[in-house]
Amino acid sequence: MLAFVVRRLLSGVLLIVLLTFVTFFVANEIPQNKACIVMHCTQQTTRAEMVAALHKAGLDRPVLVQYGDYLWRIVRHQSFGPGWAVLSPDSEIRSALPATASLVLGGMLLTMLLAVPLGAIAALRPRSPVDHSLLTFSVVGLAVHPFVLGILLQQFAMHAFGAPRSLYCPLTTHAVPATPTFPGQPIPLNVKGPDACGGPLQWAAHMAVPWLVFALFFVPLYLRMIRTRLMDTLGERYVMTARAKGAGERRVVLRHALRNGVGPLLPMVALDAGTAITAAIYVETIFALPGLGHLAVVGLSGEFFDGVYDLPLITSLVFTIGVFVVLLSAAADIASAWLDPRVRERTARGLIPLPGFLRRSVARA
Amino acid sequence: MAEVATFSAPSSGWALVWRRFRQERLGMAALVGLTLIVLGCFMGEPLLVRLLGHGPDTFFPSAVDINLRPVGPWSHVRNESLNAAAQPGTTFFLLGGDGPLGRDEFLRILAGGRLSLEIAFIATAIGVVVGVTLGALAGWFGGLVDAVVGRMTELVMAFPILLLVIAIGQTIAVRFDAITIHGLFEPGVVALGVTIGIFSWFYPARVVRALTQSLREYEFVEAARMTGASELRILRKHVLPHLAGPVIVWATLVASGVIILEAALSILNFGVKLGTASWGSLLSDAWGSLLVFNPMSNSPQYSRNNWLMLWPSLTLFLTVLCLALVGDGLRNALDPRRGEG
Repeated sequence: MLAFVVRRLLSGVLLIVLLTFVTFFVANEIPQNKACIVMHCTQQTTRAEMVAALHKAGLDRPVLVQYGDYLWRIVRHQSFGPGWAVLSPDSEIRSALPATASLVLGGMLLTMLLAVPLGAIAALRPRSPVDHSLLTFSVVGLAVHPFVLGILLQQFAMHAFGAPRSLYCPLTTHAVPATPTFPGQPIPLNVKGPDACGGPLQWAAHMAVPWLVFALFFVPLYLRMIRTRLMDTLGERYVMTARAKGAGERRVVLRHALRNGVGPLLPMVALDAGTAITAAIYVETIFALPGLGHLAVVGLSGEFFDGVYDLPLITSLVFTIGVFVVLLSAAADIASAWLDPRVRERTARGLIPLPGFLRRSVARA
Repeated sequence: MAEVATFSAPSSGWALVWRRFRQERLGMAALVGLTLIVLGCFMGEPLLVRLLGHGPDTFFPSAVDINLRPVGPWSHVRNESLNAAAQPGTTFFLLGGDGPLGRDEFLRILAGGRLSLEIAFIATAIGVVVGVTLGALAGWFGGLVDAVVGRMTELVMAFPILLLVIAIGQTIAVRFDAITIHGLFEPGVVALGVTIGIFSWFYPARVVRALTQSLREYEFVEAARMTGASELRILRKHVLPHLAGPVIVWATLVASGVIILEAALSILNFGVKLGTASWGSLLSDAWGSLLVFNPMSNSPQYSRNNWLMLWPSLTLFLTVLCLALVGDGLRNALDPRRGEG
């Protein structure tokens, strides 16, 4: 098991390195005058000055060397270094992390809380009106554009329940942006005054509608899958055996069918970790949540920073999101491997093999 | 789905599938709806431009009031445009004006639909071709090919597609915006379609890989091999026809995903360039104040017209719904457990 965990994490690290390398390379190809980003250019700036500025910033070195330098800085100093348009990608990302983390984790939890019972209800009464209406809901839910759904729900919650339109309230401290921020505007931190909010209650109140929108992005698909899985499981022999033993219907469904039928769902959640970030970009844009998706949209659109594509910021964002995704999917993979040895073997076949010396020391541990 | 067409020869199989599909009432209705939408966008729009005498990009100052608020649905507007020759009489706006510029919303939705559908078609074609090729090779040969394709699939699947498409689209694809294939497509359509396409192949690839793996074990493959057919010939002539049904079902899913993604890209301002209508850009125009920085929309004179939010969302919804229902109906029609229909 430990060997599996190590291998799973190692292949995650490989994935991150590969992805950041591609991003670094792609972002480096953007046609822009890098010299004028690292120094202040005027009409009188000569070519020699530009070359000198590039050399001073180390941007005239080969891309591979720059990439190695970038990686080394992360490993050695736990820092992404200076940005080109923003002062420090470190602080930008640090202030964006809590919003995305609470959105994705809470949203995933809500997805499961909605999808599993609804899928079970549909599977237990196949072809009943309840089943049909749930299936209709799932088809319609898949067809509505997430932006449309998000904005409709936002407006509805605002007018019906007086829910806050947007903004993020930190879970712990009393610090909040005073006004809704447009992409590109700096997000003010540690605001004091009547607008200040924070603490678990206000955090949950501000996140409730975003969580719902996030969950509704996944529930239609998951509901269908859980329904199909559970219907297949309910036809299995061991369920019949459980019934024959005289187990009550509740015990049959909860202990025997649901546990075996929904277990394989975990690897699916792992594969959907990337889609979760896509959903987070949608939700953060609608609700103006200052999270990673919001930051990514701002950083990649260039125009918000006077046409500068901030390479360190973009790569660092991809790195952070990569770590987030790899951790999420590794957690789901490890959990399902722990639950089911067959899954462990199947997943392990696709992982990189451990080098001999590592394998032995891990096996001993 | 795995046993799909293995029960009948491909030729009679399709007739059977079509017969069963016609009994799927919802699927048939969706197919008719989808056909109407596609015909409306590709043939109806040029026809209407001829009939009404104005195009989707003609500005009508008379279609907005003094506060730049566009006219509502079913309006007659004086036929005096800013960028076309003035004609006598009035012209007709079925869904009203599109915003402060006073263009015809209905024509813009049809023209935008053409763009969105073209992008969806290009991206789906690329995704399916790449996905089927990689998936079939991985499932057939196994071993190293399978491992490489499997890793690639996971790499693409595990990371946020939206982010990758934006990154590629903003950096590399911009250089290919000028490709229009002899004026067949609007500028930027091919670049965006290809960019989305290269990130849409993994679902078909996974499905095709699993199907090929199970098909490999069938007797007809062994029979073909005994007659001396080469591996690639067996794959091409004997295995691929069996994949067609499930691949079409998955293609409808990929297409609806692409349409949603394209709209999202336009809403986030990463889609085709501003001014060109697409369903996403029409949506973002209506909701400009929230998603795209549009200082106009905060001024009190500019009151938003709720109709403008309804039309593009409704069109988008109906198109994706029809695609999904056609896919569902096809899946049912292809299901061998349903007996001879």
